[in-house]
Amino acid sequence: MSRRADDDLLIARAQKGDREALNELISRYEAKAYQYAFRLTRDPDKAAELASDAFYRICTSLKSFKGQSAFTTWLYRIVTNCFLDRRKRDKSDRNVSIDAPGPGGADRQFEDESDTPDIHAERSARETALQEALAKLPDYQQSMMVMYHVEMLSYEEIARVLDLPLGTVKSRLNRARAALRDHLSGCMELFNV
Amino acid sequence: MNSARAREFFSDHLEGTLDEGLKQAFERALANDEELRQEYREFAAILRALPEIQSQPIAVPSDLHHKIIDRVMPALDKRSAGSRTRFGGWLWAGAAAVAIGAAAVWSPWSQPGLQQASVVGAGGAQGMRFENTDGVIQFVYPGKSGEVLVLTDGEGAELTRVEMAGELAEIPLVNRSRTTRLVTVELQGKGPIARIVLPGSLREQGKAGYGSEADLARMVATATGQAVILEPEASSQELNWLWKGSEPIKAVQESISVQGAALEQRSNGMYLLSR
Repeated sequence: MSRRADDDLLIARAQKGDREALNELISRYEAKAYQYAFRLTRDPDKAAELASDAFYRICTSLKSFKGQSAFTTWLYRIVTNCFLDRRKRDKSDRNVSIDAPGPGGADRQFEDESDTPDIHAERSARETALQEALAKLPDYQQSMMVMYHVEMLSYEEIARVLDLPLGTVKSRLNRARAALRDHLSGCMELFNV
Repeated sequence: MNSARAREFFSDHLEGTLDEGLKQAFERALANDEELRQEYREFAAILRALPEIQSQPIAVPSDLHHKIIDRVMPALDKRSAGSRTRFGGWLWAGAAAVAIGAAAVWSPWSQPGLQQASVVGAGGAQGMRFENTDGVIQFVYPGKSGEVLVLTDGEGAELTRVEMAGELAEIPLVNRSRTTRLVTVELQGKGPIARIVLPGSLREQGKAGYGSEADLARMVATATGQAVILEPEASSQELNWLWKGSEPIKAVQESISVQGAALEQRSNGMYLLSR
């Protein structure tokens, strides 16, 4: 059975009130939801809250899920909406998330030890610069950039997640990338340009 | 094509999706504008670097599942329209973990050797039980609206109380402390109806001993990591037990059976210590 078909079965069971199925669905996708949320917020506590909020919304609207898209598409949409809602409520989050990953943030990330110290340092500086620049983008652009460049969703998948025409997704992503370049213009040496 | 227009095609050109006419126009614009060429180089370099973020794995917190379940619990409770509960203290921490998921449901009260009469409200309490979901215990009580369940710890201190608003109370019992916790459930005004020892995070070898059934239950829970259900009323008779060999639980069972007690493990992992 394909993953999609397996998910559909679990969802059908969960829609009928089967808590075991719902638990399985959460277990299966909680890491994906958290990791996406973490890449948006750079804060482990906020990421856990976002993931929790997302699954809460899923539980409350599970009956309305028609299965026209994959569960993961729905999940990305809900996590994105939770993120955007949260940012609307708390505009000060951005500065916090850029400058301070938050208590425990750093130690919950695994370090890549395969590089030499110099390469590792350069890569680390580049990643920090990218993260900071991403965080400066409007929230909507930021979530699109993370979905495409970090979560590796296709344009078509993002169009389904955000319920936007494909062309709109492409043009908005192009603008987001250009904006990212503007934000990084002061540190292009990190990118060997 | 002017520079502003050319910028709209940076992504398409990089991805090779421009049709031939647009591609040629774009490349002519690049060739004629050094500043545009530099922007394009930077644009491309940044896009190449972006997946580096993805390559840094993110560790998922070990308590994420419990946090999520805590959050979704109210939604599930609304749907099941169960009891109205007022949780407090350590019992409620991470509690919702138990309301979801597979539960090997069984009722100690229907097991041979235990008296149905020990359950207050024989009709409504027929399905009273402890459920075990992934090591998290939930007390399920089918009762009557208005009944009040009071949960106390081993020292008699009140942990929480549950006022029945419907016909079913589902009370999660989560012990986040290091050592075991004894929880007694009382039906207000009518006395205890259930007792259970919950394991803490501490694990250590058991040992032979002498003491109350609660002492034995604590030892078993610490050694095995499993909850131990006790009869609602504590017995005044103390027990001697052994803990030895490759099957120490069997040694306990044999040693207490001659004293009129029994320790059985159920299919969901929990133990039942009865007289």
